[in-house]
Amino acid sequence: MSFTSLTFWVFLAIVFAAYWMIPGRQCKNILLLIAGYIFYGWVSPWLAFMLGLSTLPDFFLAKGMRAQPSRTRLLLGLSLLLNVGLLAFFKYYNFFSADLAELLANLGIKNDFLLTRLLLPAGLSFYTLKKLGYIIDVSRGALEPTDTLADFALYVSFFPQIVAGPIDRPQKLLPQIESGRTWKAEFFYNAWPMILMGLFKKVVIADSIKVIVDQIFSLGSPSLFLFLMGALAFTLQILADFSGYTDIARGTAQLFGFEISENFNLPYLSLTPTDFWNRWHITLSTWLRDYIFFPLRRALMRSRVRLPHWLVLSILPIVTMFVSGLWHGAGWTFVIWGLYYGVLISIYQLMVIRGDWKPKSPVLLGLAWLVMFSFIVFGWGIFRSPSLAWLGNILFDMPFIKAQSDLIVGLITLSMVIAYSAPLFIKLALDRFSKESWFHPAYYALATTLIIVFLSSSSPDFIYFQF
Amino acid sequence: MRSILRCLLLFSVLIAVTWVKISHSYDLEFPRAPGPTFDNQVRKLYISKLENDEPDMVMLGDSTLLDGVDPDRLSELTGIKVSSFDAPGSASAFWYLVLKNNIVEAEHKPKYVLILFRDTILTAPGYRVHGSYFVQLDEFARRNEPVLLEQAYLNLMNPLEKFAEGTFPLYAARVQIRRETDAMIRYSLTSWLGCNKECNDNSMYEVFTSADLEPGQLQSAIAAAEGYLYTDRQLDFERQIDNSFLPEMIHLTQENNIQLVLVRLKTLITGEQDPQAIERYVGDLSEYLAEQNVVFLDFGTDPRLINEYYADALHLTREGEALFTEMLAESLKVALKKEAGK
Repeated sequence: MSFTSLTFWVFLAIVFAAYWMIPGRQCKNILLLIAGYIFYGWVSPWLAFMLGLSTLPDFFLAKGMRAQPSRTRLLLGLSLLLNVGLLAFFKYYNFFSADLAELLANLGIKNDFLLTRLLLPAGLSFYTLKKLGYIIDVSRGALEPTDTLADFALYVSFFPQIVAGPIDRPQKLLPQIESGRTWKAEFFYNAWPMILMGLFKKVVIADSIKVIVDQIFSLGSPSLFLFLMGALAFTLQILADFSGYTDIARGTAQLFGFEISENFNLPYLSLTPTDFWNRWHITLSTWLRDYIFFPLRRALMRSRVRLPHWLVLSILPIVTMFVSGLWHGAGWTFVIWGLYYGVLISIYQLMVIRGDWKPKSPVLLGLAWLVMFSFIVFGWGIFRSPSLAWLGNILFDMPFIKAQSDLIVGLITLSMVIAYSAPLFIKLALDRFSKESWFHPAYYALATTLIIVFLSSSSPDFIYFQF
Repeated sequence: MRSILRCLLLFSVLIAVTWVKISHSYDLEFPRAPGPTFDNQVRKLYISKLENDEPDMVMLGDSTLLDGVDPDRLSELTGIKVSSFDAPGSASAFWYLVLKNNIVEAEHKPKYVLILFRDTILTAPGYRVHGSYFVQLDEFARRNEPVLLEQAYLNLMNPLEKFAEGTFPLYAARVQIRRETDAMIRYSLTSWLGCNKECNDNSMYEVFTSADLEPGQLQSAIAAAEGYLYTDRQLDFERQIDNSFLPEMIHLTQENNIQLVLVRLKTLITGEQDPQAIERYVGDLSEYLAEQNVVFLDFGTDPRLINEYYADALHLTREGEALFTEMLAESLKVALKKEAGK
């Protein structure tokens, strides 16, 4: 069920009305749990079945850790094997199966099953990280496992965030699930601007700019200039799409009395790569920091082999961002994109430019922003490229501009980027400079009008559904 | 609280302003019947073709027909004069209009009309009817097209959409407003460089239309667009048949003594779908066509059309076209002979 479909809004209205009518925390939780499974299994009940099946082991393994602390490592290993195994199977099966089938065919073993394409269940990457965060924290003694299966299952399947996050920590979401909720009007007052902005970003900005982005990245060999303009347009599309989704998720959760994490904090105003990852997809970044980066750093520090400081500084972000790239998908472009950020973070750190670095001189500040923004745009260019060969061809073989038509199309793309990013700048200015006035209501009224104009019965899925 | 009330107030003002402005600018009266409005001009392209060439057999289809059958060779092989009315991007709504407003209206009517289609396209009336496809349909539609309006648009709208279309100018005129806004945005920067609309459109055409597309992206785009034809709803023949143009097309041909021949083409997309659902659909279609006395030639799973004969998931190569033309001619001769013997 997509947030932009009418089905979802009818579903939300029914669940919302029923939720606030029934009494008691447990009944409310059970209703949300059922709603989560309906929402998730709407396209295929098989998805909901798989969600349930993968939730059970983690609940009991966590309980087992508390009952038998001496077996914690074994139980953790089992959970990692199950979760990472399932994720890796669905994410990377298609990547390797064709090669494997060819290899077997060369050995005289025909296996047609390997050529069957598997569809990655939407949200698997997100709820797997939620479960892993829970089980790792329980194993470390940082979290008491919950005794109620329904509460844990709701933590995993909470419908506003099951498909594309935010990847909330159990410490944030479980206490909210375990405590009672009574209706407050402020839930609605907080929710509606978020939901409206989310729809506006998705329907008006992301879906409009998507058209030209798809056209440019469908070309066999665009010029370097067109590629860069396409990457710039994609930079806007992915922000509007993903932050729009997050806004709707946060607003929807708020309607049920839940507060879920913010995922974006003006990421394109970053001055360094570390700063960017502190502002972009924040819940994924903090997950990677806490469960990959820090444990790896501890392991390196405890290691008997003393590595040079510069090497430690380089290895940590490169490995972490490599994992981030792999998490995004089975494709070399994602791996290279992850490594690209790993290398950028290492270089900045080796130059002693940390995440919170902010030059005092306005010229230097502007320059630092421009350099980082260019890195971000190029990074999205790698991310959106259909293949590494395609990217290599553009970077090394294509001229900057092939014909005058390239320049015109590039400028058309730039016009679209300027026009469709303008509402985001206006919103930013309103948030900064105008708190209590008619400007915000006017902005939302205009946004609603534009949503009606741009509404289409076939809005494409959110980009992050595929991860 | 105050903020939401202010927003609602301003939104009401905006709705009122747009109500007056849009009704005036687009010459629309509200409330009105939902659905798009067509102009009364009908392009007579195929009427002239029929009257100039006087073919006995007409083939209707999209680009898969253009790349799939050589009409001259088919004429040679069958001994029947054949014309190909292939319109890239067309689908059942377009074929219905061409049949209704061109073929049966021509003084010279063909003896046979072949419609070359793939899988569920004949019972998917909402396929390719919006955006640029609407412009293509409008060329062959009259102002009053109740069947087209009902099957391609109204049947697919939920009650809320119908209400909004008929009542709110902002919603009813959204396609035009969006097109105009989009044009204004697209052409703003380049106009400062002296590049007018024509120059912009030519550049877009030069870069995108004549370019070689990245093969993987092309396949994904085709698969995504064709996905509509393989949803549970489209694969449910019993549910779709009465909502489609097929009964009306059969009726039109029978009324005008034209033998309708439906030819199911093979595509590489079919193999990626649920084989049982497609088999069930084709079985139901075949049974229905037999009852209606329509000739049905099914090449959907023909093993002679191997992958090497395909340029992409839908279109045949030159070699594929040559082979398929021969296959079609052979099947046609048998089927028409059988039909004549009845």
